[in-house]
Amino acid sequence: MSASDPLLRVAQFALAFRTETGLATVLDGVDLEVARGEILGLVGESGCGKSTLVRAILGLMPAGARVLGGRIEFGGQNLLDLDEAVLSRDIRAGRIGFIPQDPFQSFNPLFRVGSQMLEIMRWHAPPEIGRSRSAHRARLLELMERVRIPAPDTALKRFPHEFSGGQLQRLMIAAAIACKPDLVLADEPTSALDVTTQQQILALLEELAREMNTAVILVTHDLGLVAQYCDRVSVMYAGQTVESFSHKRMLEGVRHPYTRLLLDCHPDRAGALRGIPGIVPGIARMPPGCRFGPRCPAVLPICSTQRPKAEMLEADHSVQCWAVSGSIAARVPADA
Amino acid sequence: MSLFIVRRLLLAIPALFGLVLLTFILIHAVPGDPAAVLAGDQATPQQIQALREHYGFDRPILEQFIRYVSQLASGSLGVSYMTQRQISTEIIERMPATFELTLFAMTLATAIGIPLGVISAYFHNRWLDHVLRIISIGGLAIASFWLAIMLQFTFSMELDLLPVHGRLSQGLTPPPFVTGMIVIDSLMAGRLDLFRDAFAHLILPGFALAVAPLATIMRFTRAAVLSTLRREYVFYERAVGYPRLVLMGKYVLRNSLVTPVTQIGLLLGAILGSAVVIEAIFDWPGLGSYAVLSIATADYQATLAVVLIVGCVYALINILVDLVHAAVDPRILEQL
Ligand SMILES: Nc1ncnc2c1ncn2[C@@H]1O[C@H](COP(=O)(O)OP(=O)(O)O)[C@@H](O)[C@H]1O
Ligand SMILES: [Mg+2]
Repeated sequence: MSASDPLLRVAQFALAFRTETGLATVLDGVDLEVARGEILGLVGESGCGKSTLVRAILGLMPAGARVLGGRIEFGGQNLLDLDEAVLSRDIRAGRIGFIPQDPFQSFNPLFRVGSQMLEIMRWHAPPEIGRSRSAHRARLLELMERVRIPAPDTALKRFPHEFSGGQLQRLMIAAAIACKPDLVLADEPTSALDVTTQQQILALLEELAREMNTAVILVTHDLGLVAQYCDRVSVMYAGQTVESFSHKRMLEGVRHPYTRLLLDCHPDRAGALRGIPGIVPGIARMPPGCRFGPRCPAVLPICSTQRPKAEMLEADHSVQCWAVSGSIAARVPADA
Repeated sequence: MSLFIVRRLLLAIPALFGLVLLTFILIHAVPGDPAAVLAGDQATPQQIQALREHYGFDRPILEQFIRYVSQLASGSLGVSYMTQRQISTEIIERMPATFELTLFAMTLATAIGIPLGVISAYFHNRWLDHVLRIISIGGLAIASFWLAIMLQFTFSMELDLLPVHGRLSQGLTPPPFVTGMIVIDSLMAGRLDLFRDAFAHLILPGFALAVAPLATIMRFTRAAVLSTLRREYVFYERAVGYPRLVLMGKYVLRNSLVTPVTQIGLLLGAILGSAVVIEAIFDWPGLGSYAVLSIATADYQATLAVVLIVGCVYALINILVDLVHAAVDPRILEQL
């Protein structure tokens, strides 16, 4: 990727939630980069903070969330500096599109899908599409054709409950790209759908993103999916990005024990990963040192006291793990 | 849909029958002798007994009830013992006054209660919300007859701003009868002077009547908006940048209306009850004061007729509420 000119750069981002027992850090030093037109997979078990990160990028943190530090740079500005009104007007939909996890719950049940999608375009359609409702309608119809909704004309007039989950998610894809954003955030866009539909939806998303040169952050807990569609992968564990690598390192070459375990097992529908013993720690009870330590097969004494630093293994591969850094350190003198 | 209406109308009949039965029993359980009232102070016991036999007051209660119900079934509400006029005629004369008053009060309660509820929810747990909630608790706690008398005392007697009772000032003739509601008829006749006078008469009783339902509507709206705001689709609508006012005023409001609309239906029934008292205080020539008069004179059939009419209106309103639901929510429409 072109590290010089990323579209989105999340740097050392840290976020806490206010809980009964005080502030609990939910994201801690998250680093992430997405280049223009790139599809990034964001992977990790449930509860690792993926959705929280996506919400933070959109500026939609829940009440009681507090930014502890870091930056979210997008198109040259720090999104954390923008207030809600500006984010809503200038960033959402127009520059950063969003595809939700559960299309059944995310369409407003009382409004026709067409009017909901037109509402987005009304406020965020770029000038080249035009300002008129008919121009917006024309664009929507064309997109619905593209996402293979039968009879787009009548579909626009239907209510959400008249569609299947797969169709709703196609509509969500159309809505997300309608205003030609530079980046689309897709938060587990297929986990509410059945397996065959999953593949179709992701293939469609990839096809359209490539065609329009739209960057995508594809959030998932399924590393297998990522292998098919993503250019690069960032792995999150317990609110930290523990490893980032490009597609070609996927099959051999991933180094973090957590990533390796993710590769070895397939998630069930609920997102719990069989094969990795233990669970993701809750935000109020993070272990000291490396957060994966208590579950790690390669754990070292240092892991329980000190947090590993991010290590660049290659230009397209960074990892945070004492076992990995330790083996490098051990190797260096021998090579010299 | 018409099947739905027919079914609901048929279902209302047993309920109304139960209502009449209950009222009948209650009337005969409380002391009061219509024959004695009719005969007057100077009457001899023989005269009273003759009246009793004439009207059948001496018959067993079951027989009286059966006679009354068969009279209803033949389409007659009976004749007033006091005025010797058809009760249906008297009710038709008085109904518009009550409709005018209750509709005005409900419009007031809805038009103020819903926005205040939305504002309260929007500023959830901030000071404005607290202030509004305290006011609404006050509105529920206050006795409407006390409020009515206080309003009369303050605005009519002390400040001399508004008329103290009646529907029109002395010396004014009502406009030609169209709906029977003077504020509407005067507008239709182009008589702004009459409209102003009639409207001034409406304000105090209308407000006294509106306070309790206003507080209820506000509380239900607030609760409904708060629950809507937690919905996934509201998150989506924010994530795709619906402007705040559009989101609250169009989408969230519509999703939140179902509960308050149900309440408005139920409150219309309750308000007809409080109208009895308010009409008596403001000397408002409607069904309420008619009911008070009929109870005071032991005019049983008139009392029963008012109860029955109010019951019918209540049943109709409930059907209407379901139809409004269907209009608001397409999923309900499908079930009708
Ligand atoms: N509003 C909130 N308040 C407190 N804790 C939260 C809130 N939302 C999420 N969390 C916690 O933050 C952690 C990360 O959650 P989330 O971002 O939803 O993870 P993921 O999307 O990876 O499954 C979890 O431990 C979750 O319980
Ligand atoms: Mg999630």
